[in-house]
Amino acid sequence: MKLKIYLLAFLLQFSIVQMTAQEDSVNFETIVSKKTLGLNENLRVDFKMNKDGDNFNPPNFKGFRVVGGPNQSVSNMWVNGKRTFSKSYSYFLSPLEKGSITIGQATIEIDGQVFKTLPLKVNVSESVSLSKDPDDPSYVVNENLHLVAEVSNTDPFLNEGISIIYKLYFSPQINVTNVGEIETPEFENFWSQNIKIPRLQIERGSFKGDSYNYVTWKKTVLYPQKTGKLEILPLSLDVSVDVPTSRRDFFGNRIYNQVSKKVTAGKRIIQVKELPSNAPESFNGAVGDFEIDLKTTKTDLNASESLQATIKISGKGNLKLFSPPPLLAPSSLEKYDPEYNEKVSTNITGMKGSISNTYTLVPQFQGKYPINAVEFTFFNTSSKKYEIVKSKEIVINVLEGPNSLEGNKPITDTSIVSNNILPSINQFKFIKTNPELVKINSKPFIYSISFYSLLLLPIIIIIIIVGFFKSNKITSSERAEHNSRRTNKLARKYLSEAKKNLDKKDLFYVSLEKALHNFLKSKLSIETSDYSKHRISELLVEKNVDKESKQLFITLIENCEYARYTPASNVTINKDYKNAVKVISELDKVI
Amino acid sequence: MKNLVLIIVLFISSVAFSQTENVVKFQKGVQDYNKGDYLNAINLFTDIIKNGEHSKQLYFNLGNTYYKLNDIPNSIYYYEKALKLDPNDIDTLNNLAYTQNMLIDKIDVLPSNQLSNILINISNFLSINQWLSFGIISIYIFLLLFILYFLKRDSNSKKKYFTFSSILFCISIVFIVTGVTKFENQKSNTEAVIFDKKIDFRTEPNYRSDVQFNLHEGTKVKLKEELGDWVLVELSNGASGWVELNSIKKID
Repeated sequence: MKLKIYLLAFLLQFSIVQMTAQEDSVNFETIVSKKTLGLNENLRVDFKMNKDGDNFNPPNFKGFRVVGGPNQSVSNMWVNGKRTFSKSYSYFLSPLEKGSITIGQATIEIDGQVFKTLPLKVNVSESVSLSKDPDDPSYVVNENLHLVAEVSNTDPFLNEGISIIYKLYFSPQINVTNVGEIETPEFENFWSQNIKIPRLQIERGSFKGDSYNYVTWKKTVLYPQKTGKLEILPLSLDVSVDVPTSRRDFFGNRIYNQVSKKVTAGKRIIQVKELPSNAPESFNGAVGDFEIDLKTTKTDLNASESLQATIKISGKGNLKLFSPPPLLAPSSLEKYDPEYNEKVSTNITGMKGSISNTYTLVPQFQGKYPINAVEFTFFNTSSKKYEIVKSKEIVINVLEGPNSLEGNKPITDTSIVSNNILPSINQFKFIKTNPELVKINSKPFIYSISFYSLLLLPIIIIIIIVGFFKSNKITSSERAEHNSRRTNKLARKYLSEAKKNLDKKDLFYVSLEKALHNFLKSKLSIETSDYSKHRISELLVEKNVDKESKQLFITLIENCEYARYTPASNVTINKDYKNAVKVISELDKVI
Repeated sequence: MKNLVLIIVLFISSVAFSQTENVVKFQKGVQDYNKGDYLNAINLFTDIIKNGEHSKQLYFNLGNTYYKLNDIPNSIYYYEKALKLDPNDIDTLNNLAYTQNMLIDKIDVLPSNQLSNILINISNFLSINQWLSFGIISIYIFLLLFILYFLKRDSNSKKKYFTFSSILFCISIVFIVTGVTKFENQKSNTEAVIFDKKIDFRTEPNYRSDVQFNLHEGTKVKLKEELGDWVLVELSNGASGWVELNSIKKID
């Protein structure tokens, strides 16, 4: 009977338990990892519920900074047909101030009902020194794993190459099993090139006096492209580490705990210096240490053959960041665009090698073509000065071909006509051997006194001659003309009437006699009473009239007298008229 | 009196001596050139110029010698000087073409009009002094004919002499005008050769102004204006700019 009662009681109890389990009471609470913590410690807060809900609303974590979360976790369990459900939202908080901070209420909606958690107070005390428990894996990792960025030069010149090497140091105590890059630094304002690391190799080194193993994770060569403060963003790695614990396994070996840890190499600031301002004009940004070389494939050739000229810059520095200086060749050489060639290898000390431009040149005419020495300016980082290097000058001799004066004449095939002597019009002429020196006249002949006098002299001579002739003219040729004019005038004056009556004999002689009479009257002021041949001849002799004229005049008067009584022919009339004209002019001259 | 005579004799003899000395120098220079001793040849040739004598042959030889030394600007300078004395010398033109092949800059020549080309060619036929002396000679012939015209009585021959004399008068005027215009042209068109390796052509005669373009040694330019140490020059393609006076050398 007693057994029956126990059995009953047991069953009863079971059923009660089952009943309570099936009662479905909702539980929503706040769980914190610790109630008191140091300022430098983190706090984990879980909001846990035993039934799924919606619209979770976390409190505003005033006085804290959320460093992680929310992380959601759900677990669903069936044990002996019994279901256990739990869901939680976790936050990692870092306190911002000391004192007691309240974590506010979180809300959730379950089955249409809103549930709230209770507010919770947390005490934040002074910073505590981190736990130095050698068994704490995170502490061990912190102590034994370091990521370091090594910068070769933090204050380089513009375009001066620097290198940055990321090394992951870890002590021999721990084993690094896996490394993954979370954040890759970006090198803004840098020309960067990663140097490939074919295999990560563990090397031995020392870090802060302790012996460490390290791997070189990343090597980069940087060429700053801007002056001033440049920032290199940090590199972050996610490292899985095996940390030894104090426990040992069955065989006495240490048991390792695997811990994942994020390590970051801090930000680095690079102060980039400006290049000195006294840059030569030809400076094109080359920084380093270089040499220049100018080469041609041939120096003696014929016209219309081609040759290559190469300008090569070799050395160390930012080779990929500038181009070689241009080739200065005479414009009469046909020049084609250059072919760029780059043989640059980059290692941790920077770029090294050579860059070159190869030009194809084709001469058209014979002659000499000097290719000017090429200058190249760069900033030498070791001497901190601008340096100019110069190539040698090359002279190309074009032996055969047309002369540029004559233009493009076909080149005569010299192999056939080698014995013929061609006229050397094309050749460069030898100097002259005849001096034919003359004085350098400093003053030009033009506008000189002798120039003017030589020009003016003939004009003066002409003026003189013309003047001289003018005075002489009247005495010679012009006089005759003058006389004839005078005679005509006289004839008109005295003989006009006689001339009218040339065909009438009586009238002619009457008028002729009258004319002679008038002439004498005007010239000799003779009276009509004195008009006798004797008197006339006397007067004429007095006036020095030559005998011939006197005789002619007397004859004319006689003729006039005879004509009244004797017949006269036309011929004698004309003769008498002419004689009258002649004698009047003769007498007029004298008297 | 005796002293005066002595001085005159010495002076004349020294002049005569320097003349023969220049000829000797010239010949020695030619020999040095032939031997390949170009620097010595240049010294000898320039000595002759310093002694106050020149000839197109001398300038031609200097141009050749500098060409052999790859001195482009000097070579062009002396060839151009030789051409000043004789613009149509074939040898000089030929060798100048060789030197011009060595120039780095290629400057196109603006096409000039046909008529002015013909006129320039005609005026290049003789030198200024030749033009002028021919003009003066024809003036004297004109004078002679004019006198003859005056002296002759007979109207036929008078007519003949008058025509001849007027033709000669026209000819003399043409000759003298050609000579004078050629001289004036040369005076206004002073040319120069760039002697610096590379010079900047600026928009204004100072260092602050912009550089328009730059040219290299040996290029011939025309002088336009001068201002202090600067000179405005024009290229054969019509472009112009200010350059420093000491980086060019005038061809005079």
